[in-house]
Amino acid sequence: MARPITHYVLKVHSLCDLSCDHCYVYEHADQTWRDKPRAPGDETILRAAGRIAEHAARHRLDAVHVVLHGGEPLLLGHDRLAAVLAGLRSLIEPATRLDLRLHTNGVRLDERLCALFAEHEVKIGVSLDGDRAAHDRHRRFADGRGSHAYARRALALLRQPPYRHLYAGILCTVDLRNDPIEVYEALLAEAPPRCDLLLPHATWDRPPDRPPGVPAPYAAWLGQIFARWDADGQPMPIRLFDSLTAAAGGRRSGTEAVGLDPVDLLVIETNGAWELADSLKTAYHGAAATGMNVFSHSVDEAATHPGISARRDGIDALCPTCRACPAVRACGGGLYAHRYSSASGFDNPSVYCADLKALVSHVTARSAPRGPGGPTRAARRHGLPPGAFDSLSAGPGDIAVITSLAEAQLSMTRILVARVAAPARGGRGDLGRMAAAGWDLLSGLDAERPEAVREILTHPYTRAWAARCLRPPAGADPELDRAHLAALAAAAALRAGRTAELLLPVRDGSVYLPTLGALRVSARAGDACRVRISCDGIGASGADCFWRTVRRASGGGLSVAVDDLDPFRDCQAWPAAGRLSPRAWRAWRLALTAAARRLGRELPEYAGPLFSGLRTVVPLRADPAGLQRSGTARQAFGAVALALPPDSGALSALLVHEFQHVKLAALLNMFVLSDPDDGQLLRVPWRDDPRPVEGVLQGTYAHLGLAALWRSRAAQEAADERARGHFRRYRRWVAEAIGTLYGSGALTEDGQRFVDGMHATVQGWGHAG
Amino acid sequence: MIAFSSGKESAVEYDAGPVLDDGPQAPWIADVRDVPLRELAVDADGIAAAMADRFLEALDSPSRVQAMTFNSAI
Repeated sequence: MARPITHYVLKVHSLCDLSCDHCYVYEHADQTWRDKPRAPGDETILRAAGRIAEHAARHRLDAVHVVLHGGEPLLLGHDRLAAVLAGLRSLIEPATRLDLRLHTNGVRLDERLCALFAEHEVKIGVSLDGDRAAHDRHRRFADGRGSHAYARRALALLRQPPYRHLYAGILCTVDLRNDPIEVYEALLAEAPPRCDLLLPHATWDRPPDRPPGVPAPYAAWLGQIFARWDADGQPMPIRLFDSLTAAAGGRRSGTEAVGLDPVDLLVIETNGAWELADSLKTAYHGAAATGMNVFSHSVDEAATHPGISARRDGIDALCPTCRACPAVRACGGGLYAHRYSSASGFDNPSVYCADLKALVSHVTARSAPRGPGGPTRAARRHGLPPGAFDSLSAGPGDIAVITSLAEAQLSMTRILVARVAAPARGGRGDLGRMAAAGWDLLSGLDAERPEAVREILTHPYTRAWAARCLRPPAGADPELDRAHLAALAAAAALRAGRTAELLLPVRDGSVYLPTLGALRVSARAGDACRVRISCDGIGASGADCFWRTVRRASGGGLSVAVDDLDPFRDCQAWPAAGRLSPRAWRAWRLALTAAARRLGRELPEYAGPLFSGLRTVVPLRADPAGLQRSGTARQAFGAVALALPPDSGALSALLVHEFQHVKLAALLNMFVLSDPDDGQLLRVPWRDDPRPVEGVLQGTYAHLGLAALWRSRAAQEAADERARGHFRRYRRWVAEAIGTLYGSGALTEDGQRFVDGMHATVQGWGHAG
Repeated sequence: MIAFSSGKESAVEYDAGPVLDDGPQAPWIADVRDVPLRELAVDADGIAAAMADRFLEALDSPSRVQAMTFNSAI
């Protein structure tokens, strides 16, 4: 038997007395309201109530929830509403408990209606977007008058003792132009038993308004409210934050907007049509339609619609990018409607993906229990989930392993960045002052907006920079390098939506903001450039400034920054390429997404962890002889560097190869796999020069991944002798190197266990092929 | 959906994700994700210095591999 439906939205009027310009019913893609009756007839209400009751009885439901909605439901008028409520109660209550609610703009709510709702125990929600300026920005009458006073009057009525128990809460739609703290204070002043903050409906075809250069402005806006709300002791429940926290902790979100709860909702339109969630009307004309109605179809039949069933498979129903994302359990891919694009339907991340990811990080970081100050706070140690070490040693690992590795790397990066900034290292002169100011801002943001700082500190080349500062190579300028603290702070401030003005070091005619981009300025290397950071982006004095962004390649489940700007990216032994031309960038973008799609098909068990953990790809200069070229730096967790190979098959192989190094380097930062004092050099089949034990471990693990890839290709392309030949060769190389490692006597207990895992994988492949 | 409703009754189908405490531990990597950067810079208990030194020593050690490179026609 199909999972039952317990939530229903009953449309009791298709028109509205306001003319809000952000309304998804009238102002977005779907225009089916034009063809629907203004109000449902008596027969429609009776059949709808009968269907709900029949379904509740069949599934033995303890309760059902019916929300009267519109348009504006109060346009139905007192007497018709009374008849509808009586009909619902009389038909549904014999079968189950009925929870009745109504959502209104508040314009027509009066004492007489409140008395009616008290009689029928109907809880009331009201829309309020904040203070007058915020609310009236959108919620206006057709003649342009604002409706703020009406909404506040309705809320005042609901706070009266006779009706206080009917007050369900406030829904507030976010607009970045409103001041978040003023919005929060306006909501709090209405003493709601609950409120929710809604992202404005948008799709990939119709993206939300965003200031240029700010990657997650909605997260920044909501983060300011979260910080204030948290500091206030969470004086009212805010559903968005509570739902994210619950979902991140493995509990139900209780909402469609976030989390992975199975969809449990049907809409009944004024003509009796069963429809999907209203928010789909923002996607395309007819998006919510099912082709079924209460007169001919039961709830069970309507629930078989693909639009329902496709949203009951939890994480499996999401696109590959979401499935591979560590934030997915909390955000759940966001609201279904926000994933839509006319090119690929709903098989996408949310158009708010970056905001949701940042918000999840922010909310869960603040919600996590914090210990008391002092050394005991750091007593907890990083480790791996049960089975993770063995899963990793077998070859692919999984997303949970990658998440654990990444979290341990973040702790290490925080330590290193703090060491760079430690007071004893304070520099003198302009560069020293630049570093000090940057540190003040960065450490302040770390306390106030940790999710923004986290984005910067998990950037692979932040740790590469810190390591360089603490172990300066020959020819380095330690003071100039250390001043990069100011650039870290500026990038974090921009991500946090903060306003700041500070001096940044100039390198090669640019100031670089990690993860975001570089501003070309008219100053010499080693000079300082004063920049202004605000929610509008970054600016500097001078007429000839221009911004170059860090571009992202997304598709096929992969979403990575292609960083050709970071001044500390050149640490992979092969030289980094300069800024890609538009034509070269297009080639990179197409190649990476094609390789990701191919990898997802050919080697999904490796693709998932790779998509989850790979943050950055750095283009390398091409090999003059045309050889393939790639590299991975131990201190840059989450990044690989490569020269673009000729086809997607070669590129996916390079990605697998290098990401094996990324995983093992992270593991080697946590566990000692070989005797660090062992100086022997060992012969390996893939290189002419003898290698240290750790080099053999790395090479073996990389070739284990390649062998798995070619094994898959050999199986998928049975007639391809080349694939079989590659598999046989890589398998032989790995088997030989494993024998060398066993015979070295240099493996620790953990190292032995790791090699055992690789050995078991190779053994499992047998010798045929 | 633009409406308030009470909590849904549907069952939880997914677990809460990895548990960091139950697997093998890396005894020298303290979890400092929630320790303010300012405290780490002062490093009153020496944890930051110990971790940073160990990481940097590994980078300096000739037995360790800092950059893995690949250069091949394959």
